[in-house]
Amino acid sequence: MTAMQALLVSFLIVAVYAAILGALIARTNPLAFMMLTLAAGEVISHSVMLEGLRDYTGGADGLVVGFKGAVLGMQAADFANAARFWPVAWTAAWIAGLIIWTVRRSRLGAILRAVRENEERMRFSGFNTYAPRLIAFVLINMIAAVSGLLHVLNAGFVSPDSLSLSVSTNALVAALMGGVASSAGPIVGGLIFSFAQDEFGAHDATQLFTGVAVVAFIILIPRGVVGGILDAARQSTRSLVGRKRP
Amino acid sequence: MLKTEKLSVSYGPLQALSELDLEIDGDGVLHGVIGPNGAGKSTLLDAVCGRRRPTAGTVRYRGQDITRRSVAWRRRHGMARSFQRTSIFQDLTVYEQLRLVAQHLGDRRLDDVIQVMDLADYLDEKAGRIAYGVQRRVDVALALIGRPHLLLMDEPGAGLSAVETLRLFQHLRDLVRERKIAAVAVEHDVDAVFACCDKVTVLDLGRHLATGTPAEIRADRRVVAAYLGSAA
Amino acid sequence: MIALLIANSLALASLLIMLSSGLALIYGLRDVINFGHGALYMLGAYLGYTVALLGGFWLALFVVPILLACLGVAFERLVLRPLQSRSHIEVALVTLGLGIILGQILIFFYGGAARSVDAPRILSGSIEAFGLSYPA
Repeated sequence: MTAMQALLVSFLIVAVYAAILGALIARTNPLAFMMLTLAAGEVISHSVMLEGLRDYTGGADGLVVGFKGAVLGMQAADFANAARFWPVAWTAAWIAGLIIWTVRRSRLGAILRAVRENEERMRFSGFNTYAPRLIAFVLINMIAAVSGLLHVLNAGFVSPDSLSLSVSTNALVAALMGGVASSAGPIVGGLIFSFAQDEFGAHDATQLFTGVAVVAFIILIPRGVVGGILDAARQSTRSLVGRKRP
Repeated sequence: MLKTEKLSVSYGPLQALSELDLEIDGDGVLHGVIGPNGAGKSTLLDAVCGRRRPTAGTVRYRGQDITRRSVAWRRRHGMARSFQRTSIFQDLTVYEQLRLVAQHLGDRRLDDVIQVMDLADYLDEKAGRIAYGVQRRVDVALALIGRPHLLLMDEPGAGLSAVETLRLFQHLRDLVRERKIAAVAVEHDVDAVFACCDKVTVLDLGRHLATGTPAEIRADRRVVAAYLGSAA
Repeated sequence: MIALLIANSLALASLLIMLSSGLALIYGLRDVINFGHGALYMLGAYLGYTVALLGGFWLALFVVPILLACLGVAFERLVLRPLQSRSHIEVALVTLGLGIILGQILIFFYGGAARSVDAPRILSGSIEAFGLSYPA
């Protein structure tokens, strides 16, 4: 199997997994859903450490991943090279952002927002609330799959740590920092988080930083950096235009 | 239009509704349901609209047995419900939420609903920020979209003053007549019900007590004894 | 063998039961999902170690619950009440962040090595039941 084929097959496997998992859990209430995704993640991250699968997963030591030939016109060495790799990752991030932006503005996006507000009333208004949630779940998992695959190409190595809960919480913190109310927010958040993590990593305090960041942002800047900027912009235009309210 | 046959709903050991037979006719009828607390009025609506599975009995809607149908199916086929505890979309503007449902149900005459429920001045406001009385109107408006054939209203007057409730019921009566639909309104404010409803059903402890015109019910001795007597 | 497994499971389960009933309690009563609950458990253990070092196991058993109860009150007053108007997930994430911070503070003070507390005489040794001794 060529490297490109392997990537595509992996992507498809994740998509199918997401569809199955989503089919099972998309119906549940937000809290249950949160715990179930947590549980599912832990199942995967611990199952790679099973003795029986050692040959495939490398157990606790992880797997070195290399490939011959080219993927997207780049060699394995290119992917490991930060200068050559970052355009690929950056492009992928913005394409993902664009996809999310398109979905937000679409009818699916409006339905998802309304379901989040009041799922019961949506059913009482004739909507199937299960399908949109399932679709959204599969979509975001596919985006996550792409990022995971890029990570493997870049790092050349994968271990149970790559699957740990902290990866999810870091992503969550990054999204919060940028602001989840916009499509660009998580991208900006990812940037801020990475820079900050490097800074704190120098003092061996990455975990502490994560904890402090979560608390600080939720309490002080709940809409994130991008959200805060958008809010400020809205406020200033409102005071400039001076709309009259009935 | 609507017919329940021996409809029963129990929550564990508690029998909320016992073998209720109810019939609502079609065109232009506003049918009130009254009864003391715990009479099973809300449960009746829950069972009819599909929110709760009845433990026994059937619900027939326009001749069809719909007891097993989903809530969304019922709504798409013209059975709409409004809520006692206002259930709207706080973060969306009034217009956004009305339009979302209108698009889904294929209703092109959203302006009608906006006009009937007098919401024109509030369209761009986020629903979470408007006055409670207006929020209730939005709740009812959401149920009116898509030209439903049967409206189920759970205490539409809840939280409103007696005057506002009466006005709401008058509005409902006009609406029901004009559109030739049927509406069932569960309500605590008996004055509004007697003033505007064509027919009234009285429930007591989950059982059917009496059904008739407001005048008949007022005069019915059993009703007076069980309910009106204590409220008078 | 089975008996040993059962005994071990019961021992661990009883700890888990206490932990999860606390979590369920705060969720049921306060509608708060406390992701930092594990960190509090850890705090209790480390405080127990420190107090036991100073005054023995029984003192720790008496004092530490009181200390953590005070912490709980502080948590309620300083964290949960001000955030009452926020959504569930925001509060849950704050508890997550606080849990992480607490964990890091404990690691800073105590280091990463394992510590042990000596069991008092009455609880050490093994008991005989059904012809087996536990712990072996």
